[in-house]
Amino acid sequence: MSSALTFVLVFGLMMGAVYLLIALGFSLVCGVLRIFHLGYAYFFPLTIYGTWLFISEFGLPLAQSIVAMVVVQLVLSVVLYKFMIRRTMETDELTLLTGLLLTALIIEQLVAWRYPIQTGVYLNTTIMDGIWKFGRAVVPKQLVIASIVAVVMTSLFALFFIKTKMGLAVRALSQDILNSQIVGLNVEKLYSRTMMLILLPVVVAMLLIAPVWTVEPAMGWQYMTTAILISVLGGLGNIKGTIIASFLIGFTHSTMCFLVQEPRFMNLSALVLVMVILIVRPQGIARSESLW
Amino acid sequence: MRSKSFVTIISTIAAFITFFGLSLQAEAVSKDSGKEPIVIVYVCDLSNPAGQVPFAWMKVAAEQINESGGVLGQKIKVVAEDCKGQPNLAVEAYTRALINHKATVVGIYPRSEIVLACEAKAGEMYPDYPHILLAIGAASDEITYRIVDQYDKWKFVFRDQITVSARVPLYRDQVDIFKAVGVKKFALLREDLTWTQGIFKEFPATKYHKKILSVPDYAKSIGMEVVYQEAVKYKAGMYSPLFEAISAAGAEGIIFAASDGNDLDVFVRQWVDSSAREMHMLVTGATGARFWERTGGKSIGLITDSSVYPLLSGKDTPEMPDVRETAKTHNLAIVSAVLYSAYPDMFFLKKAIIRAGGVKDIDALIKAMEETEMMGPQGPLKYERTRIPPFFHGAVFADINDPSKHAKDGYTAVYGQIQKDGKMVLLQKPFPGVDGSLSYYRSPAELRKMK
Repeated sequence: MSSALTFVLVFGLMMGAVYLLIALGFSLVCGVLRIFHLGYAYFFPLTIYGTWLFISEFGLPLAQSIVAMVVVQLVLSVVLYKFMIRRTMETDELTLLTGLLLTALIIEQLVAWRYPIQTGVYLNTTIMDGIWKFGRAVVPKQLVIASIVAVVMTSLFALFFIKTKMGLAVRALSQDILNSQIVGLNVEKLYSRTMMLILLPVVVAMLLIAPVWTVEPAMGWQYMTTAILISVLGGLGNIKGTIIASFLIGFTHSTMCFLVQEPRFMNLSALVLVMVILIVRPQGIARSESLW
Repeated sequence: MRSKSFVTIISTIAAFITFFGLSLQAEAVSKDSGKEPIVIVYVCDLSNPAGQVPFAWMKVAAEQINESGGVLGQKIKVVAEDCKGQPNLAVEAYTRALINHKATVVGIYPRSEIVLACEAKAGEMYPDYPHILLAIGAASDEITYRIVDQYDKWKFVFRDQITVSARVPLYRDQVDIFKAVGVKKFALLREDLTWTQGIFKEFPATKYHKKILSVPDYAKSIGMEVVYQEAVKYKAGMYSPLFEAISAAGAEGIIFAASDGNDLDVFVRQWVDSSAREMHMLVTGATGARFWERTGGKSIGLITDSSVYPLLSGKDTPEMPDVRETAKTHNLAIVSAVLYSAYPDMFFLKKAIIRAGGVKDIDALIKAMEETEMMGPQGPLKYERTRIPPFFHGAVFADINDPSKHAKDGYTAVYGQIQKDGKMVLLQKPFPGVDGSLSYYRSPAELRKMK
């Protein structure tokens, strides 16, 4: 029993941290822009296949390819914001959601066309090979590193929102656009920067977990589903809620695996948990009106 | 008013283009062949590489057949109908195949659930649209049960795959390999799809054969033990907890009955970073293209099947072009479905159509399908003629009198191990002149050290 509890604890923490990394960007975009970013799914394949494109087509080394991919992602984010989100977010939300969804689908199809699964895409972004033992629980070093990075990055984001002027401005913006404009905040600039900011956790998450988890053109949907589930549970757009929700889902998954010993119930149990919590607290774990 | 005229003009132009376009297309077919082509429709999930790859091979096979003069002067035309992996869309696609494309053969790939849905529709339509239904890669026993019960109604259904029941010899081969490399306790996993159901099951005695032991019971009978067994969700994505549970159960090896479409690269990557990393590992279907690359070389030490084919030499397939050569010239991936199904199926159909004297008389074609035999890339290809369920009209693989054993004249499955630099080493000697031996096996731990 004690060994099962060790497994639950270790895997719960690890999975929770990785889920946090996956969901953080989605939560931010929901909190600041107040849109349900259905295009979020494209960030994941674009991170992997964008990097692969620079390696395989232009012969760049891995580090430079990652930088080039980030530049592409930044440009795409700004273009999407300027030409789609800004134009439609206030007036036509349905068009915006459709547009974002189509963007993700188009990118997925382009990736599937250029790099079908048989191309054999594999990014060696392994920082550390092998395993670590925590009691009887054995975990891949790479996932432990991903977990640590997730916690550090989320802490930095929290500090940024609590301690910096820009963080304060973004929080104000997330609560009331009109009043933020009245007090002189540059809404356009803040929105653009937030669009770029959400890239950071997604890119880092994908690069860290790619050597261990799924890499295929359609992978974005799987990760986005996780992100949506966590964000909704946490209270759409609230980072504090997202942190709690990520670990809650992580612990639910590990409990199913190691205590109940039925890994096939992992997703089902998480869905039931979200449903129950939403019945009791329809707004999610935290207040969705504020970012923190 | 202006807008109305504009619409009228555009509509007229569109109608003309459509009309002339269709006429030109019809003329092109007519000039090209002199006869209507024989249409083979492939109902599959085209969004998945597991569906795309066999279709690419079928198209190449059609090109090769057409270049060599077609079939009795008729060209072969292969059309894909995308069902997105959904039974309801597959039934619609099947209907289109018969009504719009006037298909002679409709191939459905690969899931049994989809084939069973289409089969019911095909039964309704068969009297008005006589054709052949070819279940490509589907394994459910139910697909061919009805052919024995009501032959006249369902005689047009064939299955190029071995049934769930007929897989027992395959599973026993896997257990035997484990025994030979010294494994005593192992975990038995299956991907949660119909075709793997037989791995945990005992098949009761019938009037045709005696009881067939389940794989765990078979293992016990030869002094081994299955210490963990689980049906694993298809494309589960997260396997680390599973490996820990297997390790805690004291297993020394893992057998995973899985298919090419599954996320086996993820499975292997997580195996290497788990407590199970030292265990012997046999995964069927870990044969998709560039599996070695997709795992970043972490598949070293893995035992798998089918992809060993590219290493085979001296294996003649005189009735069809060489698979390796075709793969090279057309830049195609070799996956297991290509070896036992899609590609050889096309040449088998060609042979059967010639035997039937064309496709006008479907009864004659059905008879020809039942009687035709061909040497495929993995051995003889033919359909079971004895009316024993569930083997009738299925590809011959197991001995129908004792389905726990291989048929003497069925096709073969071979196993190999992925070793240094992704090189596949055969663990069996499938054909004369082909090197293979269990003595070449090395444990994953040993191979990783050599890496």
